[in-house]
Amino acid sequence: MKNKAFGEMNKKIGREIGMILGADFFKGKIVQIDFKKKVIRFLEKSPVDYNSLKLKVASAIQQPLLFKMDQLYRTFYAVELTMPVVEGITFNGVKIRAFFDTGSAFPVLISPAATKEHALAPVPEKGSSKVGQIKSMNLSGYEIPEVPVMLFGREAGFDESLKEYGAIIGLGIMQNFTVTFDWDEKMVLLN
Amino acid sequence: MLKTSFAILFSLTFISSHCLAGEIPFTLEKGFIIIAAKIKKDIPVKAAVSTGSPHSYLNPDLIQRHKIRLGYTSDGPVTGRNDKLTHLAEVRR
Repeated sequence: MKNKAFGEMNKKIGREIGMILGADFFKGKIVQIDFKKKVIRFLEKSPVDYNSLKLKVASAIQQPLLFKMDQLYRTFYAVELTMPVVEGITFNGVKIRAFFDTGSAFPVLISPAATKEHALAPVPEKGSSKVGQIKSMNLSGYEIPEVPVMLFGREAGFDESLKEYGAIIGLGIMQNFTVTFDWDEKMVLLN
Repeated sequence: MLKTSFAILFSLTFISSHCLAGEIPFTLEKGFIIIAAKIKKDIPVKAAVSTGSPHSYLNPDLIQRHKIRLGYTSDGPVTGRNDKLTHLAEVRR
């Protein structure tokens, strides 16, 4: 979500939004977003023991999907944050670094660099974006077919390099899960 | 030239809301997660949760309306050319 978002957001929602809570507010906290019950929980400890979970070879369905967040960001006041950018998500079979962004409504946004590099679709024209669809998306073993995506052209607001991230996972995907952002252990869990 | 950043950053020391048993209810409005909160003891605000934003922000209209005092700092090294300012507000419960 960009800094100038208030006007746009207020217009879209139809009332005033007074603040945006970003990653600096959640630093070190464990935040669980339960879309089914429509509640946010601040947990005192991680909902799973990551070490034992990694060792288990049990039913994949029962296990949460785990992702390590690894994108460091240094604020201008010299605080280091870890943004929820993860590996382990594939789009049409190719791995693309993806950013879990609750400020994005659309299921998936794809950068022009990722679209071009992996030939996912024709890259939209400079300064434009268009809605498309990808055949499959795989979240650490959990397959989602026919995912709506927003494809961006160059200079359309998504010009990050592939090393940073090439996809944004929005609420359209996240709302199918209970999502835990564990900023203590730097993990994202999908249940 | 000195540019003032449009970004209004704040460090939220505490948020109070309709919290029941550690759970904060939210609504999904046009694709945004919205929670009810209060700042400066009794100013109710609606807050959007955005994990994609590194910083937290206060709505400039809210700052003006409630006369929230701002500090400021430079955003990046000051070189005397294209310097940027970011305003900060510490918002207590």
